[in-house]
Amino acid sequence: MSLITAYDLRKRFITGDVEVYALAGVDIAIESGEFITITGRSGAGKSTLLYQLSLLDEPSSGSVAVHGQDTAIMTHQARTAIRLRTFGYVFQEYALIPELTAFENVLLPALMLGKTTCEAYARSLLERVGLSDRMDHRPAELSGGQQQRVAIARALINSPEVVFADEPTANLDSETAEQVMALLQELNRDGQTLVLVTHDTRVHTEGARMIEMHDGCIVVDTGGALSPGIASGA
Amino acid sequence: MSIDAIKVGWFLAARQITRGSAWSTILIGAIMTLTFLNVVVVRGVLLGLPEGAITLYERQYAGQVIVTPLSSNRSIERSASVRAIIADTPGFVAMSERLSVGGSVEANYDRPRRGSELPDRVVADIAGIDAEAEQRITQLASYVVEGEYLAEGDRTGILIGSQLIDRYTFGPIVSNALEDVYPGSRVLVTLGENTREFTVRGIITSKVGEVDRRVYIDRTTMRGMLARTDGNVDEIAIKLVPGSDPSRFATALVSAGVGELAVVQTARESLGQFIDDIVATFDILSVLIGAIGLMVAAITIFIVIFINALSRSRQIGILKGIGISEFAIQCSYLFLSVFYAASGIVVGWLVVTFAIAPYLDQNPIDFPFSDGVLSVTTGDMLASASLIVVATVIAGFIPARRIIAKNTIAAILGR
Repeated sequence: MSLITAYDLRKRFITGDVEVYALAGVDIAIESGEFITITGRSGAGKSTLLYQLSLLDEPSSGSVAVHGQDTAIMTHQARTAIRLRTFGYVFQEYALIPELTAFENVLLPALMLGKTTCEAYARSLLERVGLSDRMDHRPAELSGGQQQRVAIARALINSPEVVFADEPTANLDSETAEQVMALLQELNRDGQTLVLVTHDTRVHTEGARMIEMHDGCIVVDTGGALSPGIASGA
Repeated sequence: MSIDAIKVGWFLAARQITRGSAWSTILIGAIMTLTFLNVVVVRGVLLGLPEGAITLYERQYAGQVIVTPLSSNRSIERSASVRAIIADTPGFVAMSERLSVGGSVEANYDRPRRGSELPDRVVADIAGIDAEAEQRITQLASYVVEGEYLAEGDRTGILIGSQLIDRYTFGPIVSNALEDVYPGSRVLVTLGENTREFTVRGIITSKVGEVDRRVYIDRTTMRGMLARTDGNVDEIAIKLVPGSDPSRFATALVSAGVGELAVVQTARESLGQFIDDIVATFDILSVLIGAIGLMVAAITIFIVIFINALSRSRQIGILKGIGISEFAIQCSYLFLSVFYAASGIVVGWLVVTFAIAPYLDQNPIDFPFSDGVLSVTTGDMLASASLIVVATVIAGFIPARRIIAKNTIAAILGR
């Protein structure tokens, strides 16, 4: 069973009288351990696809299943619980909580799970991303690259099955972007499933599986095909 | 809903309080302090007005307990026996026995009058007192604003309440008041068929109407004018040991038989339904003003939390995105609301207890009919504090819930 399967995903936006499909019927299956890069031009629907797969948004139609469980029929709380336990997120603009230190930002999702022995793990994650000396600094006191590394550590705190990253290097200089990408690749080598949206062609060539989107549809998928069960809608 | 969510809510709220803008926290706390003061102090002052009036009435006229004739009698029957029972009742300190009869006072009687001009005469309650005994009960000498107090055994002196003197009255409200009466002036006092000339020793003023519209002369002299030989008096004002319960003392007097000879009332009871109506009216007013204060507090917190949540909607979206439950985020705003309310209450409580109440005790508000004090009990403050907390929790919860319910990705992307 795939980690995540999506079938006939459609996302419609209405602007005035104009109806636009950001996703126009996408089928995809994500297996454990994959490093997937989703690329495409601006407006191709790559971020929209990531939001649907990661349960940050709800599709207009179609379905997303996690471990075979259809999330469309889940309660709001159940979807939140999946985001907490099963997924990790790295957003484009760091998305840290300004009042919390780097350490507290990393710790927060673990506190939500009531983990009592997570502080050492949070520290080890910050050490792993090279921020052992910046743990007590707040986001405003960190550079963009440092903030993004804090965000990566936060995404990993609950040992998620898959980490979603939405253009994590978009606001970074090239050197820092390379460091962040190297970190993500290192995580994948350790077995972490990663789904990465990027417009950086250098990034997607390094990915094991490349998905290219155009006008809300997948036009290239180097790794995958839906399983027969998914394709038949079973 | 879980303990972990509540802990996370507290974790977020605590950091927002300690690491957010200190100035905005101080400002909001100040608003909540003023709200608490508005609810507690305004109510306390309103209720303190009739309470102050009662206190003055007690202090300047009635004592803690006052004995008056039965409705069927003009004077207190067997006053000597009543006096003895009073003096033997535990809690007694002193008493002032008075004669009290309606009469008239005429001034300027030796001045030629024009044809239709009426005598300069007022009708007043004439009180016959023992000057020293009255001083022990009411400190009447301290209300003399012109001249001097009656000396013991002064058979020709008179004290006149200021509301019987035209220069002290409120213009046309009191149409017949004595003109040009000063200490040393001579006046004629008429009691029944008996008229006698007195010299004005002093003019007294008081916020208690019963004192301010009264005339005081020596009791022995008055008894002679009335030709009363029964030895009875018309009212007895009783002063008790500080801290004594006037109701208990009054009950003891009634039990001892005074109730068959006279009416025994506490000062508050003798004021009658009138003062109860005033207290009830002021209570309603204070509740209304307090409710408005509460609404202001609720709207303030609503706006504060709404703006806070609105300006942090992206952070809220991120929190939701990484799996923090809506309940945990709502808890953080509830804790924030409670903190704002609690900080205002604590500061307000300290201000009331250590500043406003002691100040007003020393410097009562000068109202025409009362020395306004602050009538606030710990129970009143607890009730007000509870109401403020409830109002702010509701007012904080509603906007936070509205912002938190926003679509997660729309919040993150600032759409």
